[in-house]
Amino acid sequence: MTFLTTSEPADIDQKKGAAGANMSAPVVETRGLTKRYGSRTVVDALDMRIPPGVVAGFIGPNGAGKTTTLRMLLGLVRPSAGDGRVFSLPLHSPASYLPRVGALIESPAFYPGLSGQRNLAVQATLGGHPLARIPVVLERVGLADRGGDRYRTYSLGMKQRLGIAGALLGEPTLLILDEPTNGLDPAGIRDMRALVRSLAQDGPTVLISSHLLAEVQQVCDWLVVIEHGRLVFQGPTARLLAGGDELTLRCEHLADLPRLQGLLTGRGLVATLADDRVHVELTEAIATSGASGINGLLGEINRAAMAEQVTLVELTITRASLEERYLTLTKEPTEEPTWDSTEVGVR
Amino acid sequence: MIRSFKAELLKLRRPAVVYGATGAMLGFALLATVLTFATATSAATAAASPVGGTALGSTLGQLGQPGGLTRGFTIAAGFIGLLVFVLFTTNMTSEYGLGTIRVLLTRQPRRARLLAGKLLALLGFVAALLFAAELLSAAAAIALAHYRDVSTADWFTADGLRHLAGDYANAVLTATVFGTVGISLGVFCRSTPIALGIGLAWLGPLEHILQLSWSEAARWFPGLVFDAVASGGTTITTYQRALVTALTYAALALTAAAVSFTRRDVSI
Repeated sequence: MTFLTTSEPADIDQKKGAAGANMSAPVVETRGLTKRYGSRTVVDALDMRIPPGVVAGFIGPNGAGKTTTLRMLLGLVRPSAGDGRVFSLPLHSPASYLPRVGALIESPAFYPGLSGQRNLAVQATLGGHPLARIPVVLERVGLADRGGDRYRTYSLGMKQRLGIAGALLGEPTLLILDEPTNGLDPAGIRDMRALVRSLAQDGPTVLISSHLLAEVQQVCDWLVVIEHGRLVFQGPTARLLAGGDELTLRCEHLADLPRLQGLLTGRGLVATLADDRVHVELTEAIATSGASGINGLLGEINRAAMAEQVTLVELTITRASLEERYLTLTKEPTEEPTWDSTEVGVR
Repeated sequence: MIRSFKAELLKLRRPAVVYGATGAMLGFALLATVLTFATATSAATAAASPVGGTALGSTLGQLGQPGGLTRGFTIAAGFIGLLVFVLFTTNMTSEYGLGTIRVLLTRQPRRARLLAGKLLALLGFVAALLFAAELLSAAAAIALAHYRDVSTADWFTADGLRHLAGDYANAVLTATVFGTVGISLGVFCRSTPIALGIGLAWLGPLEHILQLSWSEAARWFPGLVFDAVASGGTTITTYQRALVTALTYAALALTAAAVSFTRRDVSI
């Protein structure tokens, strides 16, 4: 098992403009959080940390313990061991922090015989939220014109959106969404992705549990990966993806390849020859250094090659998909790795 | 608890609940009243009957007494108790079945308050329906009294009005104990078929079968004791004893349910 953890989410700090002080007070933090059902351990000594302001993806295969972890955060399930804090408030006192949390756990749950509005009114009344919030959240999720219809007449996508509307009733500062795209068709998934992105822009920290890695990769800037209830990785998405990035270079003349390889190796890069090309592993530091860092590296290589009279005809950065990195982390076999290629320059 | 109470009342305004519960309760009360008057016989006829009286146990003379106005309602109250049991049980188990219990508990993490608010709202709802049922039963009794030549003079005396209020109170108490046991069983079982299967089997056939072989059963078995409260006492157990026993059952069930509800994981 590979354990990659980071305790310095500096890039998230920069991205969100968060103060360093905020980083010392994560929105969610667990220490040794464990849940056992009989002899079966579902969540195993989980140390999880979600900084404020991020869209965090909580990923893992089915049965990894994601939903159980979220249930513990929401006070629905008692931990067998360990502890945690939400908004720096103890996990064993959910009433102290849940008013600031909005959640959609698993499938949306409403009363089929009541309208969307009436269902939200039940939730708002119970949560002590003003009823004036109902039209606002219905508008927010695109259900303003269907709020008066009975819940049982809603499509699956509408039910999911109503679930999110319910989660937004209390203007939460932490939004927990458990598999929000479950059962949705491609158009529904696209709409849900757009909705989550727009919600994140409003300011709350968002924690999304999913096993659809492509979705998570597009939406999340922080990842927590678990398998068999154990933490496998947590940190910025870019950091996880960076480990698999590769730079590929091709020369005009094949005979120049060894010289090019030597030139790159001499600059401290790990370069190998294969398929008439030179392949360079991009270190995490380079891959996460942003466009300026990568462009700087490419320019430097290009200038060095020209100085050695080696003409480059291809210069490509190949980025690993989250799926590939995830499978590498969890050591599951893959027959056909998937890659998202981004060509950044051709000479 | 007040928020939970108000939210539950909002939820109870579902057409299926309103029409179903109202229709069933009013229907029971009306049917029992009609049958009470339709089958009532003179005292002489009743004495000559091989079973010692009518099926519903009233004579025309008894109906003319101060309690005659609500005789049908009193008979219906025992059946309504079972209806209340089903209503309260399914109200709780459906929260688990629909998954709405997750939403409720994230909105109101103080579980005891949630349970208390829900129970009080359901009791308030049932109390209102029982009031309507008693009014309907009384109206039907007045109409049927003219048809069966039953004197209504004693119905509208102070004693008659005391019966009216007392029978309503007994019906509410019966509904309270049936409902409390029902919601408690719902909390324990979390499944509608299992909870109703256990509850109705015990309160229905099992208690009555066991009663045949144990004469003390009517003093101790909850369903029989609750029925005794509804009818203001029986020849086997006094009203006071039945009431104390019933309230004890209800208190024990509610305490156990509250402990279970506040401590068990919700992994549905």
